[in-house]
Amino acid sequence: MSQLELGLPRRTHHFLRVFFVGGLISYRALFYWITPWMYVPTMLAAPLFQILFFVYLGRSAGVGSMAFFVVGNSIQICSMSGIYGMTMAIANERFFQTLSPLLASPANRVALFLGRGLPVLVSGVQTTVFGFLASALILGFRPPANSLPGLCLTVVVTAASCTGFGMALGSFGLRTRDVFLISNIAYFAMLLICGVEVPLQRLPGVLQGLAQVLPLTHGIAAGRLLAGGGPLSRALPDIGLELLVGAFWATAAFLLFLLFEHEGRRSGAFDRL
Amino acid sequence: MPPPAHPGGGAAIEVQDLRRTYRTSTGTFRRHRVDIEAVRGLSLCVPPGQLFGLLGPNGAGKTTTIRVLCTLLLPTSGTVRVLGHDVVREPKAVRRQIGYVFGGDRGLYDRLNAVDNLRYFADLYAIEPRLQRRRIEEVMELVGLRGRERERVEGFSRGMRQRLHLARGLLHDPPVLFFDEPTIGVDPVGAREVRQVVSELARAGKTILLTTHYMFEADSICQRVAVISKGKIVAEGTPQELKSAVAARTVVEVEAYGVPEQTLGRIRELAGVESLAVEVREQSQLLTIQAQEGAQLTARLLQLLEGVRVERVANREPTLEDAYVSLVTSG
Amino acid sequence: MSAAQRVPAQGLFRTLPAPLTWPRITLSGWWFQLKMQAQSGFLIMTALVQPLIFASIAMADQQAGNRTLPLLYYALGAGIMGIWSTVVFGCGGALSWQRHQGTLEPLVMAPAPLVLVLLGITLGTATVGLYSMSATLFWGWAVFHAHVDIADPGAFCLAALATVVALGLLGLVMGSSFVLYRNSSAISNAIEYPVWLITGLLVPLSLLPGWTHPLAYILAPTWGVQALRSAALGGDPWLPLLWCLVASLGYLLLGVFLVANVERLARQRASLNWQ
Repeated sequence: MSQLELGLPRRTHHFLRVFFVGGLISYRALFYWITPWMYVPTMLAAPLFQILFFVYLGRSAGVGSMAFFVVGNSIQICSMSGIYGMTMAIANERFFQTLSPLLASPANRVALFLGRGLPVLVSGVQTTVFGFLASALILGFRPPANSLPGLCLTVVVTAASCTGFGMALGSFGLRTRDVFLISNIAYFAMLLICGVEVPLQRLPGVLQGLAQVLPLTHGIAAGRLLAGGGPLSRALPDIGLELLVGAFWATAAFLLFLLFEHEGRRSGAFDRL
Repeated sequence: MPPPAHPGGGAAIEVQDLRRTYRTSTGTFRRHRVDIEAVRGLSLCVPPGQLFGLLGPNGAGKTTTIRVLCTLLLPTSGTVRVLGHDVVREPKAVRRQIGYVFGGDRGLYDRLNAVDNLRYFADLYAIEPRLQRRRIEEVMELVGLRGRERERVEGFSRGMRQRLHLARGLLHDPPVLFFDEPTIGVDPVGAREVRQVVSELARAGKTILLTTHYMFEADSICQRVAVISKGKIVAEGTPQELKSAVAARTVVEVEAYGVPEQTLGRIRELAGVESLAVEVREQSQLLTIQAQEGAQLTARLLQLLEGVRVERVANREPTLEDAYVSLVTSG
Repeated sequence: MSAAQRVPAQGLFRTLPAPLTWPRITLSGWWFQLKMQAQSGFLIMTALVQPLIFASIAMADQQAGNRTLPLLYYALGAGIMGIWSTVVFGCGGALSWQRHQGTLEPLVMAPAPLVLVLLGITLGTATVGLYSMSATLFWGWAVFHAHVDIADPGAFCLAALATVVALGLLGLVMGSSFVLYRNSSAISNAIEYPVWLITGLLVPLSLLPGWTHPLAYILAPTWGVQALRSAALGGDPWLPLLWCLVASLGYLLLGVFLVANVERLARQRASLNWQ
């Protein structure tokens, strides 16, 4: 036992291992969309057609500009990785019936939890970058060159806040087996609410209010401003808000995780499929 | 061993030189194909009305064989017939005549109740609509699930799920039944009940092929047993015949603590020793040594084990398990 | 447990010629699938919430834009989008769930033709899609004040029914691939948007590049939505309805052919169970 007990430096090392290595392994094990057979159709083809779909819809209704839909949808598609990736990272533990052994381990919950977010964030950024590149090639979308650094920052921050939000949704995976129902509703509702396809000011007041605390809203606003030639200084407040929203959801996620873990131990809901 | 020829299709289950290869690939971009031979030239023959046991360790090819027989897998080569129907050419005719009961708790619609689980299959097996209700009641009664019909399957215990599997397998009253480790994970009382139903079905004239890795299960209910190891049958006969293969042996069991690897090697080389199996228990090791009858082992053993703490040494009669262990470890 | 001897019952099996048992097998599967779906929140979401969101986006864009097309035009398109989503996700999901649960094997092992088992599942999912049609119409009327005056109610109902059957049969064509591939959701994910786009459900075909038109013509949603729009907004629903039926027949034949091959392939590749 004494050999297995970790000293303090080893404990930090252990935390980092659970965070990076554990996060990556669980990502590969649970987020099965990253195998090439899933990744190309799901994370590349589907988002591309989504962008085309809404650009054409805008054209047919005679509303918005091409850039409006390209920026909105390209940034929005990073939430696919954030929301579904994180939901799967937790809910699929139940599907594979590995949730119980996982929760029975003494691993640090912060590391266990946040470690799963990092690969999800990276793949979210990837999808968005692909969306922009494909739009540039197919639709001739050309943002000003000096907006690119700001756009990159916006994309990373938005992907991070979506990941935080996804964690919160994923926590429900400890509690309900129909967690994909929740993530689906969230994913599609955000298309409507967060100003992706419809300008915020055209929405009813309640939805506008809700949009303020959801990820994407501020990131997309910042992205549109930058792509329209606005200076980074004017986009920074929105980027900051997006980061704040993400931090809020990540914290909420962690608290929910602890709460549901505790509840699950009481009700024995972990291994019900 | 090749089965006897049955020109008129006398056998209920007939497998000739069955081979089955699985192709798996590793790597994402540079895919590297690997062929795994799960069954390599297996032959067996079960006459109508016999309860036949297929015995073997995990991964020996039992489940693959049974899944080929049940028309779920195509053989890579060889001939497989059930009641004279070829599983490759006439899968439909085979399917009408067989029931497949697999072990474990998968294979049921968890979110539906027991009756709904059966009702759908009643239609898929073309059971006369006006008889369906009665028939479902009958099989539920038979497996002892009366009164639980309207409960969702997700609340069922493993034993109850196993019985529901059984009910589904019996729904269309098939003359040939396949049981794949039917008592796995079921508690001793439940397992005994399952064995009882299997024996009763055999008495009622069904042909039954059962796989298991529990020796006593095969010993207690099967009329004939084949031991399968690494995809091939290594021995076949009645449980008594298999036991007699080791009857001319004596079995010495030694319980000891921390026997070094070299010593184990030396025991294997002792004159008269046929096989040595080591089972690691919580702290001790259990050495089961099979030797030719009359080989005076005990003294020589204790000599080799000098310096090792020996808990007990015992001589006993060989069992079917010994026959099995010697077959699958030597093969 | 009691004695096994009294089980054999005379006349347990239907003595009808096989084809006469087919309707019952299909209907039974259809009903079974509806029951399964009633237990799953996922499909209700796909059938109900998602189409409302798309209908809202389309109608909000239309209200802000040039208003060349009536709101009902979008509501109907969004409804069919919903049916399509239920079919691709419901059918793929049902089969991978069956595979995971281990119930795909007993289904394949049953003597009933596999194509009928699959047909029951796909028609069942398409039927759930009818929700989305009614929901988007109601939503358009209640929230966006669309005029829901159906010009020819009889033709409209017929068109809705034909669309459901056609999409269910199109699902059957895809269902064969779902039996074979474990990652069926990849297929679902990839074909949802493209079919929405090129069959002109929200974007008129005339706006799309010409090379997509032949594809649109062989996809039933194209004809289904035209039949529904003609029946609702005035026009000739019968020609698109006829094409819808022709397409359905084509899918059925293709489905029968594919499923027969796929069953064989699945037995060869050992892909019926979850590994």
